[in-house]
Amino acid sequence: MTNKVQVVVIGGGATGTGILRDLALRGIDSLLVEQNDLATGTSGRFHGLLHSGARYVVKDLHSAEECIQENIILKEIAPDCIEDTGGMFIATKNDDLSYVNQWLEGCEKAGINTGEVSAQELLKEEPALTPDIVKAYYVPDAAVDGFTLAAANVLSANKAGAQVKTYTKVVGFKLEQNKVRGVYLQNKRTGKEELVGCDYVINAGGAWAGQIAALAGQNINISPDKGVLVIFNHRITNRVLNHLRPPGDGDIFVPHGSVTVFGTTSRLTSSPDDNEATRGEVLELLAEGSNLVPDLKEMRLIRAFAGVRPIYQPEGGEVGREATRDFTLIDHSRFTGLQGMVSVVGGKLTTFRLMAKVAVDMVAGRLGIDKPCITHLEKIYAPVPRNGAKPGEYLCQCEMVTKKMLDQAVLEKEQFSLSDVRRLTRLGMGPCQGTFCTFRAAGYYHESRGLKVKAANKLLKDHIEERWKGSKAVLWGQQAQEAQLTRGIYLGLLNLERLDSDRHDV
Amino acid sequence: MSKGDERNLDHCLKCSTCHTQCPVVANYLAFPGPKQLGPELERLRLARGGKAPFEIDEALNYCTNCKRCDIACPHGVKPSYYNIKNKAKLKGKSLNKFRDWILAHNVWWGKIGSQIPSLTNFGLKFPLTRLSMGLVGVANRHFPKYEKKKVIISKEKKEKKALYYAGCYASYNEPQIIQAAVNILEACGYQVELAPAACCGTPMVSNGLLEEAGKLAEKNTDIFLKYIQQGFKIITTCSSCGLALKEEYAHMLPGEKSNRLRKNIWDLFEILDEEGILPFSSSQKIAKAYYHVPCHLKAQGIGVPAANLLKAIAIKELIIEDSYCCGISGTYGFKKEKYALSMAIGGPLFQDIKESQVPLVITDCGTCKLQIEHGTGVTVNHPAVILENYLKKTQ
Ligand SMILES: Cc1cc2nc3c(=O)[nH]c(=O)nc-3n(C[C@H](O)[C@H](O)[C@H](O)COP(=O)(O)OP(=O)(O)OC[C@H]3O[C@@H](n4cnc5c(N)ncnc54)[C@H](O)[C@@H]3O)c2cc1C
Ligand code: SF4
Ligand code: SF4
Repeated sequence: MTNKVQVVVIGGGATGTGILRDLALRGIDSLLVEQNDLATGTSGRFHGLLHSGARYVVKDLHSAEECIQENIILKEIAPDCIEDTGGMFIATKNDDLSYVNQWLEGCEKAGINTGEVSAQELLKEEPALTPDIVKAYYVPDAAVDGFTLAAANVLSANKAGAQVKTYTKVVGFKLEQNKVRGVYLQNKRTGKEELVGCDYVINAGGAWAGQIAALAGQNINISPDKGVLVIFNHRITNRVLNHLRPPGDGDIFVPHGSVTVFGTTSRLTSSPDDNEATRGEVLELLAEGSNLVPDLKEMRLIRAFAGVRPIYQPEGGEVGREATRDFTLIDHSRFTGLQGMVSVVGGKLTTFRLMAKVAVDMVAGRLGIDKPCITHLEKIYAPVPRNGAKPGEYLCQCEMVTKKMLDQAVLEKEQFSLSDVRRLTRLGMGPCQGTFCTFRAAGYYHESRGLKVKAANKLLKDHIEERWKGSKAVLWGQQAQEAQLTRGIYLGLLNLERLDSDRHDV
Repeated sequence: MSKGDERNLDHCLKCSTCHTQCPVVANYLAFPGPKQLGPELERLRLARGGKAPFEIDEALNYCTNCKRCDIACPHGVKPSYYNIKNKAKLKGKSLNKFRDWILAHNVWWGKIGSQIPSLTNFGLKFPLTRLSMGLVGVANRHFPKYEKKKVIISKEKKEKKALYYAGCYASYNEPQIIQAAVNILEACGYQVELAPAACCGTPMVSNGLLEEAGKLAEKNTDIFLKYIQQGFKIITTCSSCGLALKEEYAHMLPGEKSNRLRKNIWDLFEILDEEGILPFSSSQKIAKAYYHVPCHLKAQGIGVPAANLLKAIAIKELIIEDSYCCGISGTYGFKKEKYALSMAIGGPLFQDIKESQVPLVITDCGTCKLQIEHGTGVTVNHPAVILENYLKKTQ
């Protein structure tokens, strides 16, 4: 490959992949680097809600307007990544009804359609809800899959000529006369380093953007803010469920494919890598959620996880802010004179396309390219489509993943883990959490990709460990029993601990 | 979806125990099995708001509703109930739908057939009738004969009251079972009345006519509850009727009514066992027989009271076998496309019976009887008929 491109994008989340696609569609030669797999940062550890904006209308009208605008565009261009479930806001008898009026006014101003529905009628459609509903409204919320979105962005960018390197970390910048000339990359699997030259760097490192900027001697004041989420075994409601009150902890349920994602919390933490949910946090969430879904505590949880929001705190007297209140585009040349680098921080997944547009408008301008953004005009597609298959073809029965999907997920990949495959296919995301599909998938790749035994064993070991990590915080009731079954199969039957395998990923 | 069902869904560990016990899986590899058709697909159906069916739902038609999966599950999930519920939503081929509808309403044909048995039985053998049955998808096999007989009941009032619910098979095809049950109950000190209720609804449930079955269940429940109020015990001799009243109704009409009903339903031999009544004794025993445990008796979770009783008093050597499904599953084995499968499922049972060289097979279920006679040529009788014969000898 060439080791010079016009633009290097750092970060393979929604923002970074959206930027790469926008650059590529404007004909700008670009490379995206991501230290792990695509969407392994916050874009794979979030709530999965394509906001209608209704959540923000009271506190941040501008942000709400951006959400509804992007919500409409994304439903149009990314049908593979979005399930248009619709959403609802409900206020219960314990909620402050004066907020409801404020909220309705806000929705009106932001142009978000709300439709009132009687408690009785809603309960017929959504029997899991509390009977204590006082007011209820439908809104155009939807569910969005962050993994598929990032992969679909990349697929579209690839087609337009852009390149992507995953498991590749930016470890330094080549600076000359206060201008970025290139980035030093390290392949995390081989340890090899290389230099890629460039005219511009766009830092879309999310919660890590501060660490990345520091490699170029830049200071971005980001505080990582952790949010915990839990996954229930099945769909509790058919629509996104929001608590109609000032935004707080534990007030959103998102039906996501076969499961429900519920959360979240907001606590400052010390590191962007702090993505573990604790049992205490989970219990707090459940107590809160029971106000909306009374039977919540009896429902089966299959996983808990956390994501980290980058809270950007601009320092006083700053001049480099050129953005909306929701997200911030930092032009480093305005602060420190460093040329050739911009950072995009904040925002939401829902507004990634808009953030990408604003960033690329600026960079394209600097590069003297005047092509307009067309990302809202062309559709993006999932690289591994879910098509009907016959029973017996499923390797993962919980989520109906076929051999063909496993083939498509590793197409053109020299090396991969089952987690990489999972993000594209939902392999192992169901109630058994990989118990029955992990050995099948490892066996299948052993055969179809001619993997050595040790390499196939490593796929198996890594995946079982990864699945285990996510269920630790919810190990009671049925999931604890499931874990015993997993233990029996992998430690007993397959003697996992003594399984001869390649070295673990750390 | 009712809350109970959802919780059931949460209980599935994917252990596949149910899968290993499904007789259809064992004989038809393309059948996805109870684990997948039940709890697994149910999650995904919910994911589509319960609206869009899956292509593979077609396979649901191959579930016999034998309920072996329900018994097998160590975690209390009842996969067969998801199958039943979703079968009702299937859009099948219209001809098969028509055929299934006919088979589901065996009670009507039973009524007509037993009014003019000779004509109907002649009709069932007549080549043209057989041909037209073939055209609508009914297998070319022996049909049960329709029979009509007047039941003799004592009018004497007694303390102990039994409402005997005969069900379709005994009513229309083998009325001697009714007389036998009445005689046994009377011998045990019961005042007996015949239940003024027709079909229990099982054939409708198995054929996906859930709504109709639900209405029937409601009607029957009200009739039975009236009697229960007056101190009657409801007695059945058909395993499937018994299971329907105890379990199926509770799923179709969850609530206080069906709960009260299920507590008052007894299999004839279950009540004999419960009350410890053994008024018979004789040295004239049957030398050897084979007892086939019907799947729906197994599913009632009451053990094998008929076999235990017969073994204790009436039969010298009784082989009690509960590992086989005979394969007929009510109306299933009468369907053309399932006939071969139905016989294959029954294969091991037929072989076991032939190898044990018994002159007599005993089983509680009318359609099991038809299938076993068809598959082995050995005489099959209801335990009530056997016990009543024995009772006559002792008197
Ligand atoms: C709990 C929670 C719930 C949320 N829910 C929602 C929601 O429902 N709807 C919504 O719209 N938004 C939601 N958000 C916000 C949304 O998830 C984020 O705004 C969005 O995912 C950020 O995407 P990103 O691409 O900017 O960052 P990320 O997805 O974090 O991408 C940054 C990437 O940079 C990579 N990286 C870091 N350092 C390096 C390096 N040195 N070299 C190479 N790569 C590097 C990381 O590995 C990471 O993949 C939520 C956030 C949280 C925390
Ligand atoms: S009811 Fe019987 S045939 Fe149907 S899935 Fe269960 S075991 Fe198999
Ligand atoms: S339904 Fe029961 S037996 Fe079948 S896989 Fe689930 S837990 Fe196991």
